[in-house]
Amino acid sequence: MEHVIEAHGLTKVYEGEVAVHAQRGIDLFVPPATFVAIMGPSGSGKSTLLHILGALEPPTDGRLLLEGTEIGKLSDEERTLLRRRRIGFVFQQFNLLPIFTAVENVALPLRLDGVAESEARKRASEALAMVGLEHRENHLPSKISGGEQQRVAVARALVTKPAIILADEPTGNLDSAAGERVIAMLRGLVDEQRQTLVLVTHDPAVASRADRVIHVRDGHIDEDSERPEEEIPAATGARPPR
Amino acid sequence: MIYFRYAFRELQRHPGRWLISLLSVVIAVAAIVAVSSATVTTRMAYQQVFEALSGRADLEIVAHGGGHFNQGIAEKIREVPGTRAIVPVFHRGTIVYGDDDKAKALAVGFVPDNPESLAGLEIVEGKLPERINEIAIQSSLASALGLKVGSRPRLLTSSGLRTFTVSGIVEPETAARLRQGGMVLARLDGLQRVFRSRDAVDALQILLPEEADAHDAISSYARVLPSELKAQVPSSRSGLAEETLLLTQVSLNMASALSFTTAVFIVLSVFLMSVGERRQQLATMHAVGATRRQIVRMISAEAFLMGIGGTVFGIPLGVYGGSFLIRVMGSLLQTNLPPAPDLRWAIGTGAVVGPAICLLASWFPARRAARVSPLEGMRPVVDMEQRRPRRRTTAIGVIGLALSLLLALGTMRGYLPVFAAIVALIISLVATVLLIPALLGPVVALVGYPLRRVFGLEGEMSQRIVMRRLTRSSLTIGVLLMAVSASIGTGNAVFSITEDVRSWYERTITADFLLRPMMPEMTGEQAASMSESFGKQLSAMQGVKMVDSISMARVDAGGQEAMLVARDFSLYDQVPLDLIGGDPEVVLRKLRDGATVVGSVLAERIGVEPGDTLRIVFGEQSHEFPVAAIATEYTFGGSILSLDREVAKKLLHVEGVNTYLIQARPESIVQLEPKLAALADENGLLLQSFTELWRVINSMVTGVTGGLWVLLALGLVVGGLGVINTLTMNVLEQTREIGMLRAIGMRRRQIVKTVLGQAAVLGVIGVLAGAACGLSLARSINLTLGSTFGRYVPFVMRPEFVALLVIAGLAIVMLAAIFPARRAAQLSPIEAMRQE
Ligand SMILES: Nc1ncnc2c1ncn2[C@@H]1O[C@H](COP(=O)(O)OP(=O)(O)O)[C@@H](O)[C@H]1O
Ligand SMILES: [Mg+2]
Repeated sequence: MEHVIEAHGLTKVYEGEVAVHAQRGIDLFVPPATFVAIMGPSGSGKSTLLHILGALEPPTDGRLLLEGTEIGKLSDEERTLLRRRRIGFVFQQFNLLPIFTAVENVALPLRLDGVAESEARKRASEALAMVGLEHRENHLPSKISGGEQQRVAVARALVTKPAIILADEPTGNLDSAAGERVIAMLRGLVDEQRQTLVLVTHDPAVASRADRVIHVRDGHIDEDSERPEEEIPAATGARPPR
Repeated sequence: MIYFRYAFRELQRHPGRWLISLLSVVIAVAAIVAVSSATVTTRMAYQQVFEALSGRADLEIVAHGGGHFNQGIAEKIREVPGTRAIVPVFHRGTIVYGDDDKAKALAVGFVPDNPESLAGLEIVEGKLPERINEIAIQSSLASALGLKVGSRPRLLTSSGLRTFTVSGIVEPETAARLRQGGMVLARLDGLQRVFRSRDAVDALQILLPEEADAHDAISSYARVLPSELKAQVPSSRSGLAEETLLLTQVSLNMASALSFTTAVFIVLSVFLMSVGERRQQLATMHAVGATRRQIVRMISAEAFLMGIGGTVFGIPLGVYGGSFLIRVMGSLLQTNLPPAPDLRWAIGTGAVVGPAICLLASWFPARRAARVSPLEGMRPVVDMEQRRPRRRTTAIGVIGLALSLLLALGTMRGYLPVFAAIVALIISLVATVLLIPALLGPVVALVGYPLRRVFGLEGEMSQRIVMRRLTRSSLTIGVLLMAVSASIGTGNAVFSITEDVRSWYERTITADFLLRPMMPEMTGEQAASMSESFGKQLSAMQGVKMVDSISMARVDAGGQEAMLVARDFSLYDQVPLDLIGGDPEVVLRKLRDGATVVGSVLAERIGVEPGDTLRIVFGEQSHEFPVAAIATEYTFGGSILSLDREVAKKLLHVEGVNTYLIQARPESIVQLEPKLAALADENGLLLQSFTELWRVINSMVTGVTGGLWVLLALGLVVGGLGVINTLTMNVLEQTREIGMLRAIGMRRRQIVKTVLGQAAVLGVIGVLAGAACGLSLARSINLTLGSTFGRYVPFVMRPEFVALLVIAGLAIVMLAAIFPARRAAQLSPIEAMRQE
């Protein structure tokens, strides 16, 4: 398997009084252990692309293969299971369940998949430790800061060890220091766990940490630039916290 | 107007949610309109029936222990403020001799210039008697004897046979329910003279102004009356029909009170939800300068709109429901009730009730809304709901529970009217609901354990969602609790009473026919009596198995007035009384040996028990009788004493026969009936067939139970609506969370499970707690009934009924959950990503 994500001519049309062409033929191939940043003006179709890549929404036309699996042929149930096991999501709104503590939120995808409670909890604790939140395990989301909430969300996205992590402006609601921690963590996942990360952002500083930056405009890929490997360390730590 | 525009927009935004609350208001308004129209109509109709049978007196003045008295006392009575009219009662049994036929009849005295003394009678031919030797005669009697206006029949009187001229024919105004005949109307003074009882009356009926309180009036009359006279509520009023009527009205009122409370709760939860959701909006309004009062007004405007809507739809529905209830009540009372009742009052009530429910329910949420600070709600992720129960709520709950207990106790002891029991019921339900938040945590943990086992993660999630929305969950549980407990409470009460009536009937009605003079006994002793030889004639008839001759006399027993029923106990090998304890065989033997059996009401009042002795005074005679047993009695308000007829004749000089109970050979009942009917007509007697009475009783029981089922269904439907409402709101509010769960891989089925799990938590707690509350409610209603009826009504516990309600309740809850669950499952995972 050469590419984790393989998209051929994805289009998405929202029918309505005026049909909205959110995607107008996107081709995208992402190899494993790659950090792809998607940039573009608001309304250009970034989120829509991410939704389609995450099997949340079917494209109007085009083919999508995730780890070689043809998504268009799957049932709703199969797509659900695929998301559960192979994809991790991080949203701009932290999207934690307010009724569950941090560790319970992280354990959720495992427990949904039938992993026993104690085992799920153990792995969730490990994931929380990876994002540096072991001391917040038993806090409810409303009792921790926004940056911490987002790190809990990252822990939840990686706890199942998915092949693909999709993040839609994960730092949009965070101050730059907290944002930096989250990005550093995601970067680490790509480098150490060889996971594939597709991340939507407005922030050039965040995009500068990616292996590849895609600019989207009006549902097209405008520009697709690879970054030389050696630039990456240079960017690390270049931005002192404000 | 800005308020209404805003309110209207808000209602438009969430049509489904407001529709549910509107529906609950509609149901409450409809229930109240229906019940009040039915109650007003039946009360009126019952009064008419009652008036036709025994005059429309509010009170009567009688001599202690029966007997007549001088009518001069009327002058003193007239001076008591609040006396609207006084009607002297003078009834004497007589025989009317036509040209070639004769018949027994009741001579009734009337006062020509007193219109009230003719109440219930209508002159259909000729005119009323003007001179003392004129009479008006009832049409059935007239045709039986071939008498017309101008005929000159003779009447047997204390001064021998006297000739009268028929001046007119009369007919009872209301179609009498029983075949009656044989009434002769004559001027009071004329009758008094020929019966050698100058100035004597059997009773004085007193009419009070409509708003007067009978009990107050009794005490003011007591002050002017000599010791041998007393004022009382007419004894024949406390009959079986009135008890049943009262019971039905109490349970109907309970049902409408229940639907009122339920509607308040549903609307309250909708408003709480809506205010919580609009927090940001409200904060913005606050920030741009809306005052607290303006915000309260805005919320109240929404409430008012909904109230108006509820009224508009609820009243027609209520009028329709009312006409149905009236039919049920009509069959219950065995009369035709007016089809077009006076609806003004009912509609007026409904018009007030709708807005009242909504304004009442929105008061608390409106205040909450007004307290939103301009800065609050501006923060992104804040969980507004308080999770800990408020201390004040719990305190009010405890106080309410104590208060309702006091009220219930007061009703049971008879210090307070039955109405107080309804108030107590409502207070206790509201108090229980207020206590739910404090109790919910531990209870949910308890219920949650098996739920987690069965539903796993989904069960745990539902449990937490329930706990997160403490107020809303408590309200839903409260609504379910009320529906189930009220159903079980009233249901068991109705079963108890119908069972009681049935068993009393089975026990005591051993005869197939009853034969008695036409008019109900006003004062016992003076009622027309039949000769004993007539009994022999009856016994000799073909197909007659047994004839029990009953003598009745109004006596004084232990200082209380009572009806003495003397019958031939020697005829029976099983005591024909509904004994409360005691060996029936022993009691029967003791009765034959001269002991008495006392009705439960009377026994309670004078405090006698089996083994005591009781002094019975009848006229000049007085004797101490041993008390053999206590028995359940319904007639004459339960103030009944039984004695063997031979004993009563010998020791108290009770003569004459007032009623013959005829037991037919089973194979000849059909042939016997027409013969007995002919005999009754001939002698101016009234024949009642017990198969007919059985039918009456059965249709009454069916009517009551039928009505009950309708009410139960209504309660459960409202409970189901509450569940739909709460779960839908939970789902709507969790749209984003559910979307996120779908995105990270929760299946639709799992989403459905969490919603069903919430329903299960709410349902199990609400329904089971409701069943528990319902049983204690049933018990206390039972005790309250006991004090209302002045007699213990055995508590009938129906486990299958309780089980049925529990199952039905849970089924409805789960059914109600399907809609919101499906809605949740249909939510798209994209919802989670949406910015707003
Ligand atoms: N469910 C939808 N229905 C209709 N139009 C939509 C829907 N979702 C997104 N769009 C439209 O598609 C376009 C792309 O949206 P989106 O992918 O959210 O942009 P971005 O994330 O780049 O800001 C926008 O014009 C948006 O209004
Ligand atoms: Mg976007």
